[in-house]
Amino acid sequence: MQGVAAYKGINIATESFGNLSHPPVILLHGGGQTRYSWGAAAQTLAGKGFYAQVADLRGHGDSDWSADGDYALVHFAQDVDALVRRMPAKPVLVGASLGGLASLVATSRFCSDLVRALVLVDVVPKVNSEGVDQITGFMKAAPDGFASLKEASDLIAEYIPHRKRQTNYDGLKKNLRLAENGRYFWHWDPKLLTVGEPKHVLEELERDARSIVIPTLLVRGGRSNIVDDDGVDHFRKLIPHAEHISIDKSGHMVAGDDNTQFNTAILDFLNRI
Amino acid sequence: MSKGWGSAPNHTVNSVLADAVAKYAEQIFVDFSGDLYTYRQVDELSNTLAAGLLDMGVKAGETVVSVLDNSIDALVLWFAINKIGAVSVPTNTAYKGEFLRHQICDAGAAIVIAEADYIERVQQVASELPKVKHLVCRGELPLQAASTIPVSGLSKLQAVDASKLQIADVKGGDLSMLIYTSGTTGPSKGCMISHNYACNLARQALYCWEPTAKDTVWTALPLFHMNALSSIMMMAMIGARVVVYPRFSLSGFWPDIERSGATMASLLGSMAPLIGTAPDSDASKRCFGQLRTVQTAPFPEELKQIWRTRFGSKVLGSVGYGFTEAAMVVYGKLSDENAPANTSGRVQDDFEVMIVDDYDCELPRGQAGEVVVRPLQPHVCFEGYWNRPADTLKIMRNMWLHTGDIGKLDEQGYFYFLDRKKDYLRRRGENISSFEMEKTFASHPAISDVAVHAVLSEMGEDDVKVTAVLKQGETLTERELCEWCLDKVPFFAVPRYIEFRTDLPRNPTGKIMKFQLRDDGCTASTWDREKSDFEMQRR
Repeated sequence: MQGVAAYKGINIATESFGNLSHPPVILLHGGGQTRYSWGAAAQTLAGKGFYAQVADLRGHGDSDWSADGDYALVHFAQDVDALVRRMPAKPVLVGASLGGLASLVATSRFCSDLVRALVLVDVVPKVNSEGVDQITGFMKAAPDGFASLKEASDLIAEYIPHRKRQTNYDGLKKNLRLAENGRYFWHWDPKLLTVGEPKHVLEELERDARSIVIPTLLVRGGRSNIVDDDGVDHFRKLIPHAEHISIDKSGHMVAGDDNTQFNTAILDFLNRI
Repeated sequence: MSKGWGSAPNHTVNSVLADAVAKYAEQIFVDFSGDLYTYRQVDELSNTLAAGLLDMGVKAGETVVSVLDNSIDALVLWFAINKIGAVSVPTNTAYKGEFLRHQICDAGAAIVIAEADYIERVQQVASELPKVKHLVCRGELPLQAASTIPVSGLSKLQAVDASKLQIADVKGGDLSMLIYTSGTTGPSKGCMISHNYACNLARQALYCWEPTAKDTVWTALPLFHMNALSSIMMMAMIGARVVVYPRFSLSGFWPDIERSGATMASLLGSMAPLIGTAPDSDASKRCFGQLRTVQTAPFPEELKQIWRTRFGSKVLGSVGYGFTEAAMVVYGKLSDENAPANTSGRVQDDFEVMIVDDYDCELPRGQAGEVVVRPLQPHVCFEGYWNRPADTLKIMRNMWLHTGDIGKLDEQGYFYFLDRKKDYLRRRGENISSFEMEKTFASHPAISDVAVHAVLSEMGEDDVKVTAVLKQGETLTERELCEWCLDKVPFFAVPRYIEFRTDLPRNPTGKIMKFQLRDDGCTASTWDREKSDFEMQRR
């Protein structure tokens, strides 16, 4: 793991794969997730001739929490900008959900000339509000943490029923922190929900999207509760040159649900642009 | 063993797709303006729609008519219809009224699937469609639409459980589709196209285009023509990608080429010159060298030069010659640099090609005559006209399929298309190609459109007539035009009649209906050289 000092001195945890001289790709996870949510995607990209970097968003995983509760979308975007500027060549930004919107905003407002292409993973400016409520509901469901790993696993199973239940909790462990009181808490800063819950103003995001001229791909989970047909149509009107592929059996957590199909789709795009 | 007859791979549309899914499941197959679909997705979507068609009562061997623009649904529908062993009848979306009624009735379909924009056209003739039981609307059903035939949405067919779908066991000789002839000579007839015919077109295309799995072919041709389908099947055979553009637009061309990363493009004859003469754009400059291979017909040398220097294209040409009844009967590699100018390709091993006189006697090599062909492999030729055995027999007289075209073959087996036979003029024993004549007259700066055709003369021979449309604001007299052409056409081809009109009669696909012009003959507003004081000298 490496650290990158980003906006206002917040340390962003990153991990890199592949040869630094290869075309760079930065993968940014969604809210409540970590860099591990990409599964083997970064390693796969490295094996196919890319320099792949995964990062934890501020307030998540091994990255710093913001003492001031600076968790507006623009703050995440400023972190993305900092990552982009450290790259030896123009990177492709691959962002899921919150990471995708942060990439979109960063590209539009801070580093439009420095980004090679944009891949949004199951996120568009106009998301399905019921789906968003479900996710925040999930994130808010255990304010006092969990007594055991199994308890956390039960909650995940309740919210993501289509995913195969894991009996091995090693992966899950990376998403939890054991507190002094012996209970497990999510790895992310609870202020994400209370203090600075990211407010995304639709009109601003529309303006950002309209300014995108670089190659853009939307990867949608075929069973997503966040991106619906209406959201895709709206997105395609904002960025008419964008491409769109659906990963049929995936929900919102596309890379975690079907890593093989996801990797194939991303690689196809990367090899073409 | 029969001389010349060869056993060929016998493919079906279903087997080509199944093989592709087995080998390239997660590779991108088609790209509709940026909507990407993998081989597996196209397969699954077509399974669902196939189950939906069965659910509506469609049975193997029955026809399903569609009136659809280019979309993933139009492509998936073709696969879906074939998966249940039924016959796809994609009609030209320009059709309406009598043309549309004729095709739907002639095909005998019980189901018509139409774009929301076109469904009213079907409903307007609904009372004369006794066999049609269901209309299926793609997209939002127009509110004011009312008809005697029940209408449902395509989405209903796409929501049927396909888990128990039995894919029909079709053979190469079974019908995949009916493609209607354009009907410039009479009511259009449905050409029965077998699975293996459709696949042979793709095999021919592979030979001509020589694509690799890394190539992407771009087409704006409508999916109701076999041309676009052959590009799609060609790429399915090697697991590559096809970009289908909904409808050609000049301003959208380079941006879509750039976005899609296309390396090959299949263009209509009218598109290549348009693109070639349009001003540079940022996208066209950025794409320099990207579009390696470009296919169009005709592709004159001057135009090829433009594509080479302006766009950095390398492989430029026309793939072949054929007609709906048999395509392609001659073809060649686009990369063949030894191909003579104006050839449409050469004789290959799937069709025998012969040039004959009016009595079906073979003419010596190099002489122009009617092109007749016959297959040298099973099911590479059409299976006859749908429900019209007499017409089938007629075109197959002497066991040769008569193309109705005039062409010639050279010593190396290269073929040259000269004209439609019916458009061919004979004047004082000389053959005159209306195609060449039209090319000449179209080059006059004041002329926007022209047809050159015969008018039966008192002498029992043809007289040449030029019917032309002038460009807006241009003035030109018939006499001036006649004077102008004197050093451009052979003396025997100098027109006797010239008429200016505001428009030319066309069928719905835009083809000029020359038979109507021939029937009109020498009209009141026609200038007759022999009745004027125009004096012509042999030059």
